[in-house]
Amino acid sequence: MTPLIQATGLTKHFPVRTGGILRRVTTPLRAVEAVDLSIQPGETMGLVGESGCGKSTLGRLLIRLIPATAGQVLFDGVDLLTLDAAALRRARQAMQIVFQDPYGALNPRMTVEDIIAEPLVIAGSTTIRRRAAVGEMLDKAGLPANARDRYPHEFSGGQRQRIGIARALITRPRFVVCDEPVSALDVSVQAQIVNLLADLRAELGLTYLFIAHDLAVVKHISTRVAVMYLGKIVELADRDTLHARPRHPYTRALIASVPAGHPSRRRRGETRRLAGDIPSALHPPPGCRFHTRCPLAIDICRVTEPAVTEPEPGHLIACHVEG
Amino acid sequence: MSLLSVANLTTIFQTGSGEAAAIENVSFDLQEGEILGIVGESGSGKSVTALTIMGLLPTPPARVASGSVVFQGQDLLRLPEAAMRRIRGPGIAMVFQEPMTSLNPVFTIGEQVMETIRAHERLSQRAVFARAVEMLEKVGIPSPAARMTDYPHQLSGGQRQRVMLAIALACRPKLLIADEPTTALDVTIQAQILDLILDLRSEFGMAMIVITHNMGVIAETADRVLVMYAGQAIEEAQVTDLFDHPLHPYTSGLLSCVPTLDQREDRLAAIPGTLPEPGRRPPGCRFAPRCPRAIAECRAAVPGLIMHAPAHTAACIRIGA
Repeated sequence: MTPLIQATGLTKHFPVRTGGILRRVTTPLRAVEAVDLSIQPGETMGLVGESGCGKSTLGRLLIRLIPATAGQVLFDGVDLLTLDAAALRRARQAMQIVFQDPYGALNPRMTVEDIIAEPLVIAGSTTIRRRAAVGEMLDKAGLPANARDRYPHEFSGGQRQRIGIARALITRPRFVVCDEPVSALDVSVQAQIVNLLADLRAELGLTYLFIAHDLAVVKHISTRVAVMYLGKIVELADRDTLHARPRHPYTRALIASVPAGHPSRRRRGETRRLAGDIPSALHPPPGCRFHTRCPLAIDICRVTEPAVTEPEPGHLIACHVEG
Repeated sequence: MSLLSVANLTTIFQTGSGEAAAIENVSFDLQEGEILGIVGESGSGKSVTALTIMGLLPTPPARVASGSVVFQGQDLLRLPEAAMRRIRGPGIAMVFQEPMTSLNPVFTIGEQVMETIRAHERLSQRAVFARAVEMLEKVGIPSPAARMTDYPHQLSGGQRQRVMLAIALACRPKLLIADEPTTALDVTIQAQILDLILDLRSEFGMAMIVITHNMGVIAETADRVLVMYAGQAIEEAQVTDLFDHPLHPYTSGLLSCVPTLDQREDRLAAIPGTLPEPGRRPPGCRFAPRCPRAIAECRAAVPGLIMHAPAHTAACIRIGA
């Protein structure tokens, strides 16, 4: 099967000015570094990692919301990075994004109808068609029909996220980047949104990139899961394999860090936990970027970057020791 | 005798559209050395409960309408501010969710740890410095003497939370209140800080109140749990009893709607609806509009906390029905 999304060598450096006033230098912040990722039609690719690992940047690169420094993204075989503005605008209808913050992502001066219909305005659809489409999306997203003429501040966080989802899906996209769509919501509301996203995927035949820092949520919704550390994907496998037999020491540490689901399984003082903090992406460590925190690091890890290997079919890992 | 005994605590906020109770009739006891977890979502009143105990709410808009907070035999709500200052620190200390904003950005972390020690103890400058270094070492700051002159922005989020803990524990409090201590942190750092908090608790032998929205944090730390919803305590139990036999429909909903790594369902059991805002709370049981078991009587009167099993209380008229 041809992948819906195929990224090769995808790289994003943000220039950051550092140093004193007289010695200002520009250092690249290596947010995403030479990432290869392919996503099959109909699957939900989970993307996990700690803050600053580049997962949101990677999500934005895949739909060319921000320009890449290097690399290639094929969307259904078409190279997104070479499209001109008009062609990109047409392609955008097939790719959408749901943002993390349902408070910041909706314009407070626009009615819900105008917010949800805006992607169709850009696509040049007629007013009558837009009204009908908004009505249908309100229903699909579980919002009352009278929501259309109201403003975002009248809605709770969970309902605002439903508005954001309706806006993302109104152009009938094939690929949706869900960037931490539930992490700003109260726990009793998170489950509603996760269920809604799963229902809409099945109903509309969507393909998701689901970005989150919560491993349990990602495991719940994903078919495959990619683990990111300092701009690199360090492990990728189907979700059950990844949780039952994680190979990369970082993945193992992440899983060991998740709080127990029951007091009888407390994990206090487990040795697999990580010491230290995530290093700066301005000066990533040489060799394997994880070696400064890795309990298994050997000499080669400090010098040579590990290549991606596939020790069993579909299970990718970048590690000198476990690969 | 309990270390801390909170009874019928009601705190009211003056808002643009009249008065609204942030918490109503909250009661609980805390024994020496015990860890009480207070769990609830936004607007449940868990942070207001902590700030009322500490006497840190600005008046106005806040006003304690009723209740008592008896700590080591004296009611903190009746203490003058000068006496309350002597309780904060050596008696009760607190760490907050935001290590970024709780530290002063223009003072070194050493200065901020030493300020707390100086405020409560008469020691020489050298002894104060030595104690501050010792505290930073205890909370796991590497090369603590060299870090004394660092400013907060030079530290990571996890390190800042460690400094907050050093400040809170500098005067050896009898009780530490931790309000969402790991919410702003990544999961690997959260695990480190939870380990540290529990190690320090064993070392210092203090009691703790851990406030969180995360049932995982409760499962990892608490001895006993108080569940709050829309300003009221709705269930209290030993931690294992709460996870094994939740009585209130909200508690069981909360436990089953959160995905965990070891569960296998493909659909989450969501709680319908949204949390009521303080001004628009429904009459009767506040959870009734979202409750799958609600009947007409639930909307008539606020249910009281009733003991249903040893050391296990819940506020629901449908239990056992």
